[in-house]
Amino acid sequence: MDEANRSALNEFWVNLKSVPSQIYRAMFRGGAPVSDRTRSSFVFGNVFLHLHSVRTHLWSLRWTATMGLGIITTAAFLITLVTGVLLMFYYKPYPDVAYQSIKDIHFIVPTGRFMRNIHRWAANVMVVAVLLHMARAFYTASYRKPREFNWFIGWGLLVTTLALSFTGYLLPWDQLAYWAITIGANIAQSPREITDAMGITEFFDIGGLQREVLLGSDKVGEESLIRFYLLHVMILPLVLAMLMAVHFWRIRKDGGLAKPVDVDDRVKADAEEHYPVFTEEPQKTYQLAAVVKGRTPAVGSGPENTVPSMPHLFYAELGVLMFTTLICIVLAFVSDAPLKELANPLVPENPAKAPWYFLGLQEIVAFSAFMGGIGIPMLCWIGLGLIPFLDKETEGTGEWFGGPGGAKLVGWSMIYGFATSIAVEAVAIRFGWLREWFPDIPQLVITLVNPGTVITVLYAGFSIWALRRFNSTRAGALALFTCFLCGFIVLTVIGTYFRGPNWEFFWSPADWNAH
Amino acid sequence: MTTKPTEKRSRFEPEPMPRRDFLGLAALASMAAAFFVSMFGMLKLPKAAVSASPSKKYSVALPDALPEGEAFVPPGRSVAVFRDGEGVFAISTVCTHLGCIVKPNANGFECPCHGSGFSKDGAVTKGPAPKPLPWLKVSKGGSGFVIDEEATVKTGTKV
Amino acid sequence: MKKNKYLLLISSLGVLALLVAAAVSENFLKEWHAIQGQARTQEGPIDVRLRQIVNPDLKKADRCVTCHVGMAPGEQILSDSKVAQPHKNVVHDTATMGCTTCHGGQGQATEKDDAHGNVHFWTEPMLPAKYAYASCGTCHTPLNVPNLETLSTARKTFERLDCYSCHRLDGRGGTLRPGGETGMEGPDLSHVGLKGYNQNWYTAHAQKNVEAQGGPWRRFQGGQ
Repeated sequence: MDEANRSALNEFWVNLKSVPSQIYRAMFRGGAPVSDRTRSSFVFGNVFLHLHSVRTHLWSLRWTATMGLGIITTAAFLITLVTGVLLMFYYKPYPDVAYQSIKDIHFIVPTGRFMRNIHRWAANVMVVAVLLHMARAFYTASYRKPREFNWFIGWGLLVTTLALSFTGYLLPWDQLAYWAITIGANIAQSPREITDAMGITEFFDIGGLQREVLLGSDKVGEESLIRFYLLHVMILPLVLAMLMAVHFWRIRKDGGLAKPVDVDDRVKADAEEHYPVFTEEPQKTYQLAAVVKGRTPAVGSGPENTVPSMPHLFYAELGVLMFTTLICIVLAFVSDAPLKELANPLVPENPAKAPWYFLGLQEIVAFSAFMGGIGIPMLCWIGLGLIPFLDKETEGTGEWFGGPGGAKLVGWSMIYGFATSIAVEAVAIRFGWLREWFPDIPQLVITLVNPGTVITVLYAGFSIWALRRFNSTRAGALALFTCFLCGFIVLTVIGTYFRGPNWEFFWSPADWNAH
Repeated sequence: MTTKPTEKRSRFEPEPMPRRDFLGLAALASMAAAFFVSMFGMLKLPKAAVSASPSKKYSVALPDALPEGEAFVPPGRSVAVFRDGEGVFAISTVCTHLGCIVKPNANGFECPCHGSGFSKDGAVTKGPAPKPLPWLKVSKGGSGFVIDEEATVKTGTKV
Repeated sequence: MKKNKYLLLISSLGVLALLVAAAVSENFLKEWHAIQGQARTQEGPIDVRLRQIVNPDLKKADRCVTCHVGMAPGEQILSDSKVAQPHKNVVHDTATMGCTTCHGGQGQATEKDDAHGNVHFWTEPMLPAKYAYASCGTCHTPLNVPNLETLSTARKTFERLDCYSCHRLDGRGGTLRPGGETGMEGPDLSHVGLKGYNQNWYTAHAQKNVEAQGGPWRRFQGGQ
C-alpha cells in the first residue's frame, strides 16, 4: 500500500515536471513537418489549415497564376477585423458623440490613430483587391465548370465587401460621412423615378421603402447610425466570413485553381527536388469516390507536378499576408484617415461625394438617379453573376486572356471601352444633355437615354460584334467585361478628380471657386 | 503497377532540404517578431491614456452655517467635509471593502452593501472593511477649500 | 519558394521597422513629451502623461493642459517656459471650467496646430487672447456680462445697426432667403474674427462684392 502510494506520488511528480513538453507534444502531435507524411498531417490535422490541399500544383504557385489577389483580399479583411475590433473599444455609435469618440481615437487613444488609419487603408485595399481578384478570375476563365458556383459566391462577396465599406463610411459622423450616406440613401430611393413615371408610386413605392428601411427614419439620424453600425460590425462581417468559408472550401472541392488541360506539359517538378508520390505499392485508391457524385480524384496516376503545401504554399500565403500588412501600414503612415467637420444636416457638402468606388455611379446618377444608381448597376451585377452560365466553352481555361481573340481582343476592347466612355462623357460635359437642349423633355426619356445607358448600349454592341466575329461566347464576354471595366475606371476617375461644386467639370480641384 | 525505385528514397523520408534553411528561418523569425511587436500595440490600446472622469482636485465652498459634526457632501462627489473647532477636514466616503458609497449617520458612517461600519474619524468598527476610510488632503485656496481626492493625509489632520 | 521566402522576409522586416517607428514616435517624440519632460515642481520632475480638464456640465474634455501643464489641475510648475505658466487669476476656476469655453480651439487635440484650431475642418480656431472676453457672451446671454464694457458696447452696436436682420450671430438673428432659395441672406458672423481681426476686412469685403456679379451687396452699394 505504502509502496503503491509512493510510486503514484513519484509518477505524479514526474508528470508534473514534464508538463511543458507534454503540452508541446499534445499541440504538435504529428511531429516535426519534415517528411511527406508529417507535412501532410500538419495540414489536415489543423483546423485552420485543413481547407488547403496537402499538396499544391506548381502551376498554382507561380506568382502570375493569381498575383495573390485572393490572399490579399483575405489578409486585408483580417486586418480590418483586428483593427476594427480594437476601434470598437472606444467608438460610440451616437450622433455627435461618435464624432467626439473618433477625435479621441485620433488624439489620445494609445495607437488609436494608427489603428484607424490602418483600418481605413485596409478597407480600401480590400475593395481594390476584390475587384482585381474578380478580374483575374474572369480573365483566366476560372469561372467555368465546375467553378460556376464559386464564381457565384465571389459575386456575393463583392457586394458584401462594398456594403461593409459603405456602412463604415457613416460611422465617423462627419460632413463627409453624413452627405455621402444621404446621397447613397437617395440612390436607394431612386426606383421612384420609374414608379413616378408609371404613376404607381402611391401604391407601390419600392424606392421609398428601401430608403426607409436603410435609414430607419426619414433622414440620416441616430436611427440610421445605429443601423449602419449594426450592419458594419455584426451582420455584414458574419455574412462575409460565412461566404468566405464556402468560397475557400469550394476552391478545394473544385480541384484547386483552374489549370489548362496540358498543364503537366508546361510545368515540370524537378525530379531531384520533388520526389514523385504514388509510385510505389500499395497504390492508394479512393473507394468513397465511387459512390460520391462529382469529379473523382486521380487514381493510378499520382498527383505529379505537385509539391507539399507545407511549406511551399504556406510561405507564399504568409508572404502575401505580410506584404498586404506592409502596404496597409505604409499607407497608414503616409496618410491619415479623413475626418471633416462634425456632420451638419443644414449645410450640405459641396461637392458631396460618395465613397470613391461609387463615384462612377455618381457620375451617371448626375443624369438619372434610377439608371445610374439602380438600373445599370443591377444590369452589370446580374450580368456578372450569369457569366459562367452564358459562356460554357472550354478553350483557354486557366490561362490569362484565354479563349478566342485572347489578349489582342482584350487590348482592342480596352481602347474601345476607354474611347467610347470618354467620348460620351466629353459630349455630356461640353454640350450638356437632353435637358439642356429640350427643357420640357419628360424625365422618363432622360431615364432611358442618358450617358450611362448610351455607353452601356455601345458596349453591348461591341460585345455582340466580337461574339459574331470570333463565333465564340468567350470572345463576347471578354469584350463586354473589358469594356465595362474601362467604363468603370473612366467614370470613377472623372467623378473623383474632375467634378467639383454643383457637380460641374473642373480640370483640377485648384479651380474650384471658393464660395 | 510501377516498379519500385529502389535507389530513391521512400516517400516517407524527408524531401531533400538544405540542412539549415537560413532564409526560411529568418523570414519566419521576422514575421514572428512583427506579430510580437504588433501585439504590444494591440494590448496597449484598451488601456485608456486618460480617464474620462472630471479632475479629482476641486474647490468647495462650505456653507457658513455648517454645524459641527455634520457632513457636507459636495454635489456629485464621494467626499464628506466636516468643520469643527480645530478646522476643516474631508473623509472619503468610498468604502474600503468593495467601493460602495458609505452614508454618514449619527455614529460615523455605514456601508449599505456589506454592513461595514466606520467611526466618525473613519476607523473600522464593524464588518468586512479592511482599512479605515482615508482622510483627503484639504488646502485653503481661492474663496473656499480645495480638496484633492488623489492625496491622502494622516487621520486627524485639520486645516 | 525562394521568391516567397524573400517576400515574407522583406515584408516582415518592413512591418517590424514601421511598427517600431510608430511606437517610438507615439510614445516619445510628441511635442508635449518634451514640454512635460522639462517641467519641474518643487518636488522634482512631473510624470509625463496626457492631462486634461473634464467638465461634464459643458461636455468638455480639454487636453490643452497637456502642454500648458502649469494650468493643469493641481500642478505647481516652476518654469520659465512660456507654455508651462499657470493661468492668471480670473473669475472662473479654470481647472474645472476648461479652456475652450473661453478661448475656442480644439480641446480634444494634443498637437499644437490641431489644438489651436489652425487646421482644415475645424470651424472654431482659437480667439486672439484679447478677444477671449467675447466668449463670455456664449453663456451669459441675454444678460450683460458685468464689467465688460467692450463686449456690451459691441453687442449694443450690433443691435442698434440692425445687423441681426440679415446676419446670424451665435444662433440669433438672420433671415432666410425668400423664394425657396437655400441659405441665409447675410453670412453667419459667429466665427468672424476667430482668426484675428483685420481693420480693412469690411472695406475689402464690400469692394469684392461690388466686383462680383449680382448678390444683395450690389444693390446695397448703389448699383455698379
